[in-house]
Amino acid sequence: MLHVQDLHKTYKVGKLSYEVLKGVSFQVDKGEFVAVMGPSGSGKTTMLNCISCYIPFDAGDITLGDVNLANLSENELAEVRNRKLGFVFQDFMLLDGLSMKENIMLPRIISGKVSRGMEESADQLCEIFGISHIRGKYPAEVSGGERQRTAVARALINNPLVILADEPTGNLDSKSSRAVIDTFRRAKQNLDATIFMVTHDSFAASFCDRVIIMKDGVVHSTLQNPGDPGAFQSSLLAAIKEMSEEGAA
Amino acid sequence: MTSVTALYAKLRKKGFKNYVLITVCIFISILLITAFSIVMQSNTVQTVLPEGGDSRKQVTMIFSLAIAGCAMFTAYASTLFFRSKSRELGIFMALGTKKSTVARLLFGDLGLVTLVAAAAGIVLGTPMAIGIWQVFRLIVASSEMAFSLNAAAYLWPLGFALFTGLLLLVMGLRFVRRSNILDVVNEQRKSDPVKDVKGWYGIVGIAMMVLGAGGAVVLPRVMASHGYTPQAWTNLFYLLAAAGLYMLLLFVVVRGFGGKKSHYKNIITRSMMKFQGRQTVLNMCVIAVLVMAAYYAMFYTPMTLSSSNTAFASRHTDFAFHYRAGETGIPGRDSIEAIAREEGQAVSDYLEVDMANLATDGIDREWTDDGRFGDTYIEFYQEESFFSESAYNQLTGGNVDVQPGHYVFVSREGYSHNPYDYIKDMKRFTNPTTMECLPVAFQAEVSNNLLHRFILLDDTDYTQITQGLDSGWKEKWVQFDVSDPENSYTFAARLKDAIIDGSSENAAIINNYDRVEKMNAEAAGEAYEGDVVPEMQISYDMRDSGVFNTDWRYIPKFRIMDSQNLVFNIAVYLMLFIFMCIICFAAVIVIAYARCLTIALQNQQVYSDLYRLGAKRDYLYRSVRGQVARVFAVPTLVGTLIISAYYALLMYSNSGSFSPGEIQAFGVIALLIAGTSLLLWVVYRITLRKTTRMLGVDLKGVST
Repeated sequence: MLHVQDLHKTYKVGKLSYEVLKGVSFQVDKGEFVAVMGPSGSGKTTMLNCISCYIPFDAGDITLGDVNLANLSENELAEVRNRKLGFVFQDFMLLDGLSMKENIMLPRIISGKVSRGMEESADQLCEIFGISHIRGKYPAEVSGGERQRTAVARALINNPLVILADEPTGNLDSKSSRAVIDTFRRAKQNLDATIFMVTHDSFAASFCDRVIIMKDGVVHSTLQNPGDPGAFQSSLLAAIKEMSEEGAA
Repeated sequence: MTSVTALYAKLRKKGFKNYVLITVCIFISILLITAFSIVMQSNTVQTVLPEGGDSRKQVTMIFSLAIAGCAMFTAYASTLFFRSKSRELGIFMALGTKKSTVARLLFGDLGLVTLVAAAAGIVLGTPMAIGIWQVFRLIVASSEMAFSLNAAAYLWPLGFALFTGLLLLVMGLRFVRRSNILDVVNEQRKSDPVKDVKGWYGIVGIAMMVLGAGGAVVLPRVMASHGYTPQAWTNLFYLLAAAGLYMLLLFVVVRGFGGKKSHYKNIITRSMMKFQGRQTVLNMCVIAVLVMAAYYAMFYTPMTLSSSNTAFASRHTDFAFHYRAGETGIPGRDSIEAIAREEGQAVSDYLEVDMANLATDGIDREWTDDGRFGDTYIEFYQEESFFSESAYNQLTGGNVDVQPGHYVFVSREGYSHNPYDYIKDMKRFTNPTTMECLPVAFQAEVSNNLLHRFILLDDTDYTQITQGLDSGWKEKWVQFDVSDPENSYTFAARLKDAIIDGSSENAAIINNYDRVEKMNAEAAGEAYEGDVVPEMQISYDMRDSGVFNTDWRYIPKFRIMDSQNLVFNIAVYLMLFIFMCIICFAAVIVIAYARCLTIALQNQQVYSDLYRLGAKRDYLYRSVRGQVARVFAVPTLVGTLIISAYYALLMYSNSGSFSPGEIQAFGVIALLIAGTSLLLWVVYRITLRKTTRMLGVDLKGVST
């Protein structure tokens, strides 16, 4: 579904260069819920932005389905963002001037695939994620958790190949975080969605099928969920601690 | 809502205030430029302000500054607009909207905004110009003050609208073409901080301003006094002054002049201003420059009125006039006394003496390629007016003794010789009728405000050189006092009319009409410009105009009339300079107001966070007040100080001293500055109230 191969990205600030991604490779399969963790500066958000086609990358390949993103024009990249990817951001990125339902429908409207089914799909997603009661409201009128669940619904409206989520629980309290993670799990179970999430939150990551741990611009290790979120969170924390000690040594 | 266009329209409606802000900014810029341009291009200004003259240059300079200020202000407003649109357009892009679609939406908006603002500005600028003009006509209704509208006036606002459209187009293209979508999304949150500046920035900035302004004023005079042509490059010194202004304002924004104690006290205010530093400093620079332009225009009125009135007051007689000796219709002593009697006045100290117009030698100076003057000595060069020493002493009660073979030059108080004049170097005077010459040398200079530019000769020399002079070159000088000068206006007006009515057509010439130059031109087979250039023609039909009253060669010098008609005679200049002053201050107020509102628009989150951190309301209020006060006070203060110093330097360098009229004018200027500062303070208070209310930190019951 998503195949990243030897990805490199360097930022230039004045005369200085910072190599943030130093050859990242991994794969995400259809229907998989994968998290990426790692300390600040490990390159996880940069990697997500490259996959999202928000920033260009220097070398390597990103293949989404059967499309290699490296060779696409701006218009083709826009089409990939709209039809093959869904996005969930830490700060929700909802448009304040549109109602929650309009926000959910936005990718479909942008794609031009406006049909009677669009509103039904939006209503259905609201139903699945428990936000039907706020669909006529505006972002400023609802809670952070509700906003993020709306963002997840928006990410799914075009039936994308992958949902890319950047710290989706970063701005939420524990109750709202749990609600958003449940939303992802429901999307996976009910809609067979593929989710790729960057997070600092070991609790959120513990519900994923697999966690990729990054360090210093490369994949440090990958942990598979044994099926018990509590035990998986403990092993995640242990792995991160071990990685930190490696760094200190 | 089934299309991107429809959704965008809904977002536009929600974010209407951002559209209002940029539309109003462009509208006001074009409104001011339209009104200014209409006045500039009117027949009155085009006729009265001579092409290439100092007044025209000053007006053009202020107009240029106003346009530059409006351009910078518009660019600033455009930046704010793009910031306000960045998040929603960034999200559109992030969710897969093609850039061509984003461009279509954005340029549609920008086109509409520019069109509406430009049309409104141009349409309403016209009544604004007419309105202000008519207010002046209520005060001064001279014949030159008839309003005229020239189509050429609309070229400037149309050009500015085109500039604004292109600016928005370029900014829009840069906005859409960015490859990093996250940069677009996060644009709204971006600050434009300025780097920390060194402690010497303030002092060096001040030094650069002093050096720049001083250099631009003094250097051309120094060059000229050493025989070099003042070159245009000396104006580059103004760039040094501008850089100094930027450094000073940068220093004030980033560091301030306070010590360490105030550093911590004002840390919130200063850090917020610093993190929006580039825009803040740029805005403050524009405000300071416009304040300077406004005051420069404002100072013209008191300086002109005061200097002129002081000069009138210092005349040695109440009434004086001169006329060609051959004129027969000019009222004589009996007629004058008869008119005076009818007007309840008694004439006293009546004097009538001979004067003559002769040719002097001189230097024809032209600039050469190497930057020096190319001098050509001409024996028979130009026409000047002469008295014998005894006639002059009789008129003034003085005791000037001119040595044979010498001459004395009469100048008004505070008169400064320009470096090109030859007045102290003349070697020969020529009788233009007989072409007899009198070799002479300069003896001295005496001061008299009424007889400025007369040349005095030894009695014997005078008799000798004027022998055989045609009556057209001879003149009579008449002067007298009246019993009640304060109430002599009607008498003066009747006498003036009688003099004009009695003057022949040959005397209908302007001050600058030079019969010696005419003789030279005709000898060379050329037409004399004074006979062909329309601006150099004058007619008795124009007797009520300001131009006639300042330019007619034989205009009577009646103190009561000159004093009371001064405003009338220079009405066009006054109106233009006051108009410019109003326009520049209007721009200052709009820019400062808009800048302060953006403090509120951009910092709502910061103040909300500070409130959550436990900051009290009065602390937040004081923080906002600190920023608003800086935006208003610092550039206004700096601009006021700079222009006052610059103006004083100009006045001083004109004559090497301050005349009593200038000193008096400085007093009036101080009062005007105080009044204007009060007005700006009121605007500042209104702006502060609006800004604090927008941020929800306005004070009710907290002492300020």
